[in-house]
Amino acid sequence: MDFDALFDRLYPPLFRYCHRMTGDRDQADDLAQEAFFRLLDRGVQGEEPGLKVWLFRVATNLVRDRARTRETRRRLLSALPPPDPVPGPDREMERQERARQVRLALEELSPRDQEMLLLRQEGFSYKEIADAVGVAPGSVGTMLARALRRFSEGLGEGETAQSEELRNETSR
Amino acid sequence: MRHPDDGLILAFLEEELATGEEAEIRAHLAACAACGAEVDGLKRALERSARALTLLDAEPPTREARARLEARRAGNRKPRGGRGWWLPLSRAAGIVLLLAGGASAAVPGSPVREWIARGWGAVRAPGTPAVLEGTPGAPEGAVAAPEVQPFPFETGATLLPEAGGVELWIHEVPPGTEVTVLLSEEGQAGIFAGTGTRYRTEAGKLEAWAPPGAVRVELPRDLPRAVVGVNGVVVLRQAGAQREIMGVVVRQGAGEIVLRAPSGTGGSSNAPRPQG
Repeated sequence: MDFDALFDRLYPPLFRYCHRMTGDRDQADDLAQEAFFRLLDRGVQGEEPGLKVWLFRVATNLVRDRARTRETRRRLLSALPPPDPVPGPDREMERQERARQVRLALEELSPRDQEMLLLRQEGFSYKEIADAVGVAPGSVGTMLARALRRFSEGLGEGETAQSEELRNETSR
Repeated sequence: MRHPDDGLILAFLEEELATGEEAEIRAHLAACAACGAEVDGLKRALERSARALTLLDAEPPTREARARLEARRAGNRKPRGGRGWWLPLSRAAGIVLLLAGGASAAVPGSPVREWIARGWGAVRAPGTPAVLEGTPGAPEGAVAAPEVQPFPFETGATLLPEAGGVELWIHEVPPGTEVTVLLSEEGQAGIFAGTGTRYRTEAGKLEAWAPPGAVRVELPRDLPRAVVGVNGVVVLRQAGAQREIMGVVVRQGAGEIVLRAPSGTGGSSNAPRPQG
């Protein structure tokens, strides 16, 4: 196994996870990089699936350490006014507003529920989620179902069609 | 059967159930309209959640991040200060593992040896020391790194938990020896002891036969299940945040528990010492 190839495969999902957790691109990059640094620094060995769980677990702990920052950011987000209607095309403004709502819905969940929901989105099995988050494997389904329902409810009614439309718009 | 709860239905939808359980749920869902509605609700929640989360995503700066990581590695060859003894110990986990590998290489079929053989260079960044000078069993072409010798007299081995649990057993420890259990924030567990220690691993289990001298155990703080045993006697058991200490405590702090090795009974894990 080649480290560069490993990095190229695992950095993007780790960055995405950290970015979804923190809402901050620079922080996400720092956290993902710190996890890889520790992997090398501590000489952790093993097969890729095990290393992936290790990296996500370290990143999860790092994010938890920054919980205070997150709480501050949450307060700031809640206090943010709606986007300024003057600059930028309407679609981009709308996308930003939806992203803000998604972020707020995510932050309504407990940190552990966020972690579990986002790890599942990254394709982690229930067993891997249990290992990474530190819960009993048998409780993952129930905890995930609860997180999923809360998050989905927090998104509001209009999310589905709107997000689909906005994503298509962005990808064109 | 009774109506399955949300967790079971979700596990069914996400194909996380064992075959027998899945068949049972499938049969129930086919005949139960109320649970069918639950399935539809969870499916919708899964779909809209996945779609919504993509709105938060940004392009990952992969290439730049790799370059920064390499630069950072290049600037961190020497041990750093300011992090107490966690850093050297953790560093030791990576480096002295290879010494342990050299020792256990004499054990036919040793999982530690196989692990090291497979992992050699697997996650080694350019310039990362692979082995200390004079390490027995070093592969050809291994690079010596004389500037990094944090714990030259210790060996160690680490492993990742299996299904959220680990068992760590240390054998042949002279009674009365201090065994330090470090509660770590990291994901892997480990045993660190003197030169000549022999290690054996299997899924979720690590055993060490240590020569006289200090022994250190590294244990992830929040691991759902963990057992630490010395001389065949369980001295510590952990279930998430709950920790039960059965051994004699010499001293205890926030991040470590120092126990006195019992005389031993040859109890639950008294595997024969690896020869070599």
